[in-house]
Amino acid sequence: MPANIRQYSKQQDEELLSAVARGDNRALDTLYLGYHRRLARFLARISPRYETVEEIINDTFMVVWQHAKEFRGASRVSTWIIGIAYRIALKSLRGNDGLMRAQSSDTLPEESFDPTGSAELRDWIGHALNQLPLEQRLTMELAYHMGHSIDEIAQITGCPPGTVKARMFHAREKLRQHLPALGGIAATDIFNDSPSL
Amino acid sequence: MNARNPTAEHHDIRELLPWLVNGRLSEGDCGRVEAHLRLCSACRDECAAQRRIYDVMSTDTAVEQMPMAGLNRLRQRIEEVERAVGLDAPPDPACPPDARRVNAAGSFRVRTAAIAASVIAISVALGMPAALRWNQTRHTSAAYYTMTTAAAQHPGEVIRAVFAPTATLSELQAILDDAHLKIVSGPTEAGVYSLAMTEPQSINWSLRRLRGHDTVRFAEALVPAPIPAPPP
Repeated sequence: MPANIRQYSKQQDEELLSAVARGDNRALDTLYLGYHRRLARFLARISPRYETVEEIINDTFMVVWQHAKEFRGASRVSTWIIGIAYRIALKSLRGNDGLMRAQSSDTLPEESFDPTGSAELRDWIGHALNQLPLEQRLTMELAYHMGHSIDEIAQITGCPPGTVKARMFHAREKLRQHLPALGGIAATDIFNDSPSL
Repeated sequence: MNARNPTAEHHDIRELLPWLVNGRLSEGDCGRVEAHLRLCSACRDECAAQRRIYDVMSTDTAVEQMPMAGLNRLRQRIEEVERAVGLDAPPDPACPPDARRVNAAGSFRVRTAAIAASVIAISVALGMPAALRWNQTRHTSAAYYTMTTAAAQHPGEVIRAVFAPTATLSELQAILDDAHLKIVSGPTEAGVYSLAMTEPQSINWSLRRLRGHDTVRFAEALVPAPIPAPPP
């Protein structure tokens, strides 16, 4: 079962958020514990420091606590919460050069990675993901780890669906450069971009 | 009938492949992509490659996490902010009283009341002189909060706010200028500033302006201090 499985249904999330809006601390606790793992894994892609990850999660739920009453149901609760975390994380990173391990421009070093037979596939991909610009990496995480649709990612990141698709496309292109082979299959066999209709 | 240029269609489909893999394409797009895959071996290969990446990324790793420690810090932070702001919002009938502002760790106010009670008990045990010294040093209102104690208000204070610790002085000033506010007190130990208006705008307007800034972590209007009853 993928890791993006939700621990609470959409309806449960909305009920919890309504309770939070009424000042119910226990509902906030439930929501926090329900989202902590997902957010921690997502934010770990931004910062390797657990303290930073937790700070962003707590900032996120501080905003949830203060603004729950403003949620109008225009999006899913999960999209709303993850969108808050995304914006806080980006702001945190941009305000702290020391955390800018994640690079948000296209000025990436031309670093290549050559996985050998002894490396784990997860490590290969993790290493390759770390070479991606921040927005591309997060788009990939939102799609593949958290299982969001194009429209949901557009809502979370606050950009048009076309930008989401473009970021994902460029992320895949860069992964192609950093993953010359995937699981022992030659790159040319894995990534073939010419149409063969 | 599909009149699209096959190359353009091919590129459109390639952009959608990640969402075919994660199962989040719309029904219409899903049918379109699958029809294309039946004819395009390059896209089938790309789809297979993306599926392998997805399989790895969608499998959760056993990262050690401590959500309870983080939650406790969040609770403490909320309680500190609420204490500083002196929020005593009217109870919502839809929320059971026992669920309101209550958590497993106990609310700050309950804990503070317990501490205050302990202090009184210790003072009594130590004798009246100690109790008198306590009263002399705390000759103003009680420095602890109970369920009914309102926080002291500063003259002109209408809003209390908490800003991100990373906010610079110039950022802070720009935000206050934008919301037509000025600092009359603070920050407290919890980082709370007391703000007064510089222009005759509505408090709600200033609150909206404040909350529009990402640097503002918390902003609430102050409940007006009760007017003291005239002496009998």
